[in-house]
Amino acid sequence: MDNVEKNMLIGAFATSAVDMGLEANYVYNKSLGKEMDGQFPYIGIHDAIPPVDDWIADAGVPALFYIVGKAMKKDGLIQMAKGGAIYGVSQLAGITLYRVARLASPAPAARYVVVNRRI
Amino acid sequence: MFNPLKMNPVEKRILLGGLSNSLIYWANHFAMDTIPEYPQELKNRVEPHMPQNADIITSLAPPATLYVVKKISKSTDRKEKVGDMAFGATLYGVPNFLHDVVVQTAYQEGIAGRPTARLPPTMAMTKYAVNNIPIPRTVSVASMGKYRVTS
Repeated sequence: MDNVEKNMLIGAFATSAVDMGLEANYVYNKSLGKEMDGQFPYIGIHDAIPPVDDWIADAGVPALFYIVGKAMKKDGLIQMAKGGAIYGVSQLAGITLYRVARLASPAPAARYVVVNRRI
Repeated sequence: MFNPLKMNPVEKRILLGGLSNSLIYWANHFAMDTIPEYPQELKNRVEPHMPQNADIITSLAPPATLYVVKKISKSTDRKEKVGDMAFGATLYGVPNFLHDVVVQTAYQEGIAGRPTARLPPTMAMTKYAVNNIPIPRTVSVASMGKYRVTS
């Protein structure tokens, strides 16, 4: 791997680390029985759009890398921002598509069974 | 050509690799959640702290497959293009796999740390357990016929 690829990989892992930290905190507290929904940053925007914590991790971290990289004129940080953006954009796009698909099929399991039986 | 972010062809291919891996991962999630006949083997976990088998496969198989395709490609141009897409898929797949492992571990730790529920006692306990046995107020003796001795 060259230096550009290394920096991009570091950026992707950094973005993922913030994402996993926020989500692990949510899941840990939920499994303990604590109510987390509605508390910052676990705030839903719309059923088809990822919640705020996903935007903070997947869009905020690469944006932060980019702004700091531009301000300090460090190419390495901009490359990290690109790596983080590839992870973040892919994650946000995937979650959004998944949520839209779930919304479009309100009773997917039942519908699938009906289709499968060719009624 | 529409290119608002001024991305060069290599960056576009890397992004395409990441997006396609994410699409495969989330399409599988959708199938897992909606199709009743989804194979149970793919829903199982190798170990409780690990993600479901299908999540592991859909995170790590696309970059691995693309790297194999890169290796067996004879054309240099194709090797380069597939290599860029494989790197993009790695940028999404490997961190996403670690993300799933950490989140599942956090879930298991939370379950283990959950306080045990206290059930309400089914009957009032007294110092002497025998007190809970209801004392018959009526003694009936079969041989006495219709007459009963009451306490």
